[in-house]
Amino acid sequence: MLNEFIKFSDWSITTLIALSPLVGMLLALVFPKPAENSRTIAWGVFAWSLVPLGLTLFLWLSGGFNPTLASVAGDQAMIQQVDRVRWVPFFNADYFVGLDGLNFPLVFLTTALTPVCILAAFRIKHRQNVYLALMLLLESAMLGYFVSLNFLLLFLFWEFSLVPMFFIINNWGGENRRYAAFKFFVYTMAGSVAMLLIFEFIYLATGTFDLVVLSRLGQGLPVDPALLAPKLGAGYTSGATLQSMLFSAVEDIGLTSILGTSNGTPAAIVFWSIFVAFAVKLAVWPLHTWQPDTYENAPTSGSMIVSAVMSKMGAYGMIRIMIMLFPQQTKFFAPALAILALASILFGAYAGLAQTNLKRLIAYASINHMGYVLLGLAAVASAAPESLGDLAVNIRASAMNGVQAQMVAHGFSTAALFFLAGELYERTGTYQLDQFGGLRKVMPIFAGIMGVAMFANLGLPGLAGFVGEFFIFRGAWGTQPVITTIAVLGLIVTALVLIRMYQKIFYGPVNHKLTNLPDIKVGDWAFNVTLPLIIVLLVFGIFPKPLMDLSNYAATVMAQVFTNL
Amino acid sequence: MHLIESLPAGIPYLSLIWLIPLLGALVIMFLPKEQKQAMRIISAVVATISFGIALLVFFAYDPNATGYMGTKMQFVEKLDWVPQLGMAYLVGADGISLPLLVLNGLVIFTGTFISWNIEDRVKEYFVLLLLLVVGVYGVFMALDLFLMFVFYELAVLPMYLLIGIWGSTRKEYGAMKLTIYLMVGSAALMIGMVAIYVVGGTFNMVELSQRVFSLEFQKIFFLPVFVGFAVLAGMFPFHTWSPTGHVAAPTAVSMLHAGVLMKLGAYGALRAALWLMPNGAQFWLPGIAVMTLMNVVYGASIAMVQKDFKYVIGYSSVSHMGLVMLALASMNETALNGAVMQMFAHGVMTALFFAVVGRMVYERTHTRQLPELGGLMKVMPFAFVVFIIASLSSMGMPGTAGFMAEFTIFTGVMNQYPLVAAVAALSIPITAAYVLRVGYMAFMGEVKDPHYHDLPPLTWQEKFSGTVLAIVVVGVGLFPSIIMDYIATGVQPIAQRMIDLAGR
Repeated sequence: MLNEFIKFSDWSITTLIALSPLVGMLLALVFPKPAENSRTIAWGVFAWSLVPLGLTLFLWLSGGFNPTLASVAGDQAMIQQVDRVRWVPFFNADYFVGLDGLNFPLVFLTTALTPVCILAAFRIKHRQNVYLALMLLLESAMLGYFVSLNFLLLFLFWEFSLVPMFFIINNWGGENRRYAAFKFFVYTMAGSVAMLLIFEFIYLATGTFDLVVLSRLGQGLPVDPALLAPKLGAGYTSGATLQSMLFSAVEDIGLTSILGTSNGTPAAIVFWSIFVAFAVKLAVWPLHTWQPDTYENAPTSGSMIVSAVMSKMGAYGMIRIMIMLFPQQTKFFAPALAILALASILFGAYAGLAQTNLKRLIAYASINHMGYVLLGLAAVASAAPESLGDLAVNIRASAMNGVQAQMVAHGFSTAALFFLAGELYERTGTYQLDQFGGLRKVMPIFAGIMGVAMFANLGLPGLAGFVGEFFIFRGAWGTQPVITTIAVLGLIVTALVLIRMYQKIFYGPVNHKLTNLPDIKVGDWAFNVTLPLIIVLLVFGIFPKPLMDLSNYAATVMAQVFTNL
Repeated sequence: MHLIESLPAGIPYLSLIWLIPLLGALVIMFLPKEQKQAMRIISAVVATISFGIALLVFFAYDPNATGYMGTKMQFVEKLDWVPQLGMAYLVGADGISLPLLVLNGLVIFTGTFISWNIEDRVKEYFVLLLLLVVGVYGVFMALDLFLMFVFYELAVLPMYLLIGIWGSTRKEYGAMKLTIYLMVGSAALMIGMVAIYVVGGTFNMVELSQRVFSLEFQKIFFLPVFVGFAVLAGMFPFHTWSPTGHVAAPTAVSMLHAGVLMKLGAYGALRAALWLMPNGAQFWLPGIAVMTLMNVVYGASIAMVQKDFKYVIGYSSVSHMGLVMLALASMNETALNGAVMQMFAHGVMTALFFAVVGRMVYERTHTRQLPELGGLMKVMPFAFVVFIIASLSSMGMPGTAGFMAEFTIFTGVMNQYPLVAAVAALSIPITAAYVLRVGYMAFMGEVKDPHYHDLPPLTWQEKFSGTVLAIVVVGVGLFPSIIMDYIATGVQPIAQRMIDLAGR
C-alpha cells in the first residue's frame, strides 16, 4: 500500500545529497595544511560543496524529480527519490528520506547557498579549516532535516544543526558572541522540548514516527493498519484520524480528569507545543528575541547561512509537521497564527526603523519577511469565506506557493545583504549606520550590487522577492482580508526601513574618513560571491515559473485538504 | 546459526570474566612494589581480556533462544554452594546484564589507561581497583540473591580505601560518608533478602521470580530491598554521598563509581526488587517517582551553581541516575528499556567526563575551581572535543547515546505519569545550560593562568581512552539498535510478568 504514495525507485540520490558534505568535512579536518596562507583547503571545500548542488540541479533538470507526480489515489503528491532502511526497530523508526514539492525548493536553497557562504568564508583567518568543516557539517544537518520523513530522524538533524552553528557564532563571532551563541542554543533547545514530549505521546498513541503515515492519519486518509502499533488508546479503526487516536490515548492514560473530556484541549496543547518549537526557529513574535543578537554577532558567512536557511527550517517544520499532521487544529487556530504573523510583520518593520546597527536592521527586516511566510501559512489554513466558492483552492494554493517562493527568494536576498554588510565592515570597521555616508561616489559598483539585493529583499517587482510577497498577499487577502490589509502597512514600513538604510550608507555627504575605500571590481572575489545571488534574484524575479513549478502541485493538494475540511 | 552455537561449550565464560581480573589482582599482590610498569601492564592486559570476553559474550548471545528455566538467561553456570541455605553459585546473562557487563569492561579498560600516571603505592591501587571490578562484574551476572549480595559488598569495600588513600578533596570524609551510606543500604538489603529467603525457601532469583509472594509480604519487603539498592543509585534523599564521593575519588575510581557502581544500584533495584515483587512495587512506586523527580530536576539545578568542576559532573550524575530511577518507577516496558539504555549511555558518558575533568584537566592544572580555569581549549583541544561529545550526550542531543536513552525514558514515563514526564523534561534545557556554562568557564574564553600554556601534553593513554569512549557515545547514538534490541529481549519477560501480576 505504501507504493501508492511513495515512489520507491531503483536509484535514489537523496542520501548522497544530504550526507556528502560530511565527507568534505572529514577531508577538511584531516587534510594537512600545506602552507601558512595557502587556500588549498578552502578551495577544496568550496569544490566539494558544489557536489550536493550539482546533484540537486541534476535531479531538477533531468526530470529525476517530477514535481507533478501524483499519488495513485490522487490524494497527495508522490514522494520520490526515497531511501528507506530499518534504523531503530525498537521505535519502529526507519531512516526514511525523500523528496517532494514541499522540501525540494528548500534543498535547492541549501545546496545553492552553502557554496556561496563557503566562498564568503574565505575571509576567515583564524583556524579556517575548522570553520569550513563546521559549515559542511551544518549543511548536512540542514539537508538531512529537510529530506527526513521520519520524526526521529528529523529531530536528530533539527537539534544537531544547533551544534555547528553554536561553534560558528561562539568562536568566530562578534563582540557579544558568547552571549548570543548561548542564547541561540538554549532558547531553541528549550523551545523544542514540548514538541519532543508531544511526539513521544504521538508514538504511544499510534506506534509510529513515520511522518507520511502520520500526515495521512491527520488528514483522515486511509492507512495500512500494519504500519501502526499503538500502545495506548483504542488503536486504529477504519476512519480513525490522528486526533481521534490521540484523544483515545489521552482518555486511556487518565489525563481527561485534568484536561477535561472535550478533545479540544489536548489537541490545542499538541498544536501549540509544536508551533512553539518551530516559531522559535522562524523568529515569530514574541519568540524572536534571540534572533537579532544571533544575526548581529555571527561572523558574516554565519549570518548568511543562519538567516537564509536556518530560519526556513522553522517554516518547513510548520508545513511538514504542524499543517500536515494537524490540519484541523491549524485551521482552528489560523486566526491566532495570522495575528502573530501580523505582529512579526509590524514589529519587525517598526523595530527596523529604530536600528542604528546595520546587521540588526537586516535581522529585523528578516523577522518582518518571515512574518509574511507565517501569514501565508495561516492563510492556507484559514476558513474561507462563502463568497470565494470554488476559488478557495486557488487562493490557498496561491498562498502556499507564495510561501515557498518567499522562502527561497528571501534566502538569496538576505544572504546577499549580510555579505555586503560584512564587506562594508571589512572596509570601514563599523556596522553603525551613522558612520557611513555618500559611499556611492566612493564605491559605485558596491552600491549597485547592494541596491539590487536591497530591492530584492524589499520586494520590488522584477526581482525574486516580489513573487513570494505577491502570491502570499493574493492568497491571504482571500481568507484573511482584515489582517492582510493591516499587513500592507508592514510592506510600506519595511520599504522605508530598507531604503533609508541604503540612503544612510550610500547617499548624503561623504564621510571624510571613508574617501579611500576600495570598490568591488567586476570579477574579484566579493563580486563572485554576490554574482550567483544577484543572478538568481533577477532570473526568478522575471521568470519564477521553474521555481514555482517545483512546489505547485504539492501546494494545490494541500489546498484541497483544507478546502475539504 | 548464531555465534553462541559456534563457541566451544563447557567453558565458563561468565566466570572467566570476573576470575581473570581476580587473578590479575593476585599476581600484582605478589610483585615487588618497584615494578610499577609491570603492574600497570598486567592490569591493562587483564582488563582488556575481561572486556574482550564480555564483548564476545555480548555478540554471541542469541536474542531469540530461550535459556535457563524458560527465561532468556544464557551462559548459565550453576554450582551448589550451601544447599541447606539455598545458596548456589549461579550466574547467567540476559539482554539487560550484557550491555552492563560490556559497560563495566569498557570503563575498566579505559580506566586502567587513565590510571597510568599513579605513582604512589601502585600495587595496592591496582589490586583494589581490580577487586572493585570483580565485585561489579559479579553483581551484574549473579542470579543468586546471596551471591549478588556478596559481590555487592566486594564492590563497595575497596571504594573506602581507594578514595581514602588516593583521593583528593576531603578524601577521608568522602570515603567514610560513602561507605557508611552504602553499608546502611546493604543492611536494609540484608533484611529484605533474608525475608525473601524465609518465605521463598531459596536464593535462586529465577525460581523466586516464578513464585508469587503474598501482597502483604511484598508491600512490606519491597521497600528495604529497593531502597537498599536505590541508595547506591543515588536516589533522593539518600544521594548526598555521591557528589562528595565523586569529588574525593581519584579519576579512575570516579569513572567506575559514577559509570558503573551507581548502575549496580539501579540494576539491583530492577532485578531484586521489581522482578521479584512487582505488586509491592506497584504500591510504592508512585511515591518513588516523585523522589526521583527531585533527583532529576533538583540535581540539574544544583549542578548549575557549582564552582568545582567535578561537583558539576557529580550532580549531573545524580540527575541522570534520577532519570534511570524514574524510568524504573514507571515500571512499563518502554520505560525499563530506557532505564537500561540510560545506564549504559550515562555510564560511558560520565566515564568520559571524569577522564577529562580528573585526569586531563585536574592532574595538570591542580585546580578544579571553575573561576580559576579558562581557555583550556587552546591548550588541550583534544580534551575539549571529547568534553563536547560527552556534554552533548548529557543534554540529550540526538546523535549521541544519551538522546536515545532519554527519549525512551520519557516515552515510557509519559505512558505512566505524563505530568511527571512534563516536569522532568524541564531538566533538559537546564542540563544544556549548566553543561555549556561549565564548558565556557573551563575551556573557552581567555587562558586564565599563563602557566597553562606550559602544561604537559596529553599522553597517548589519555587520548586512547578518550577516543574509545567518545566513539562508543556517538556510535550508539547513531546506531542504537546495537544495544536496544538486546535490552528489549531482556526486559520483555520482566515487563510481561509485571503485566500478568500487576496489570501494567
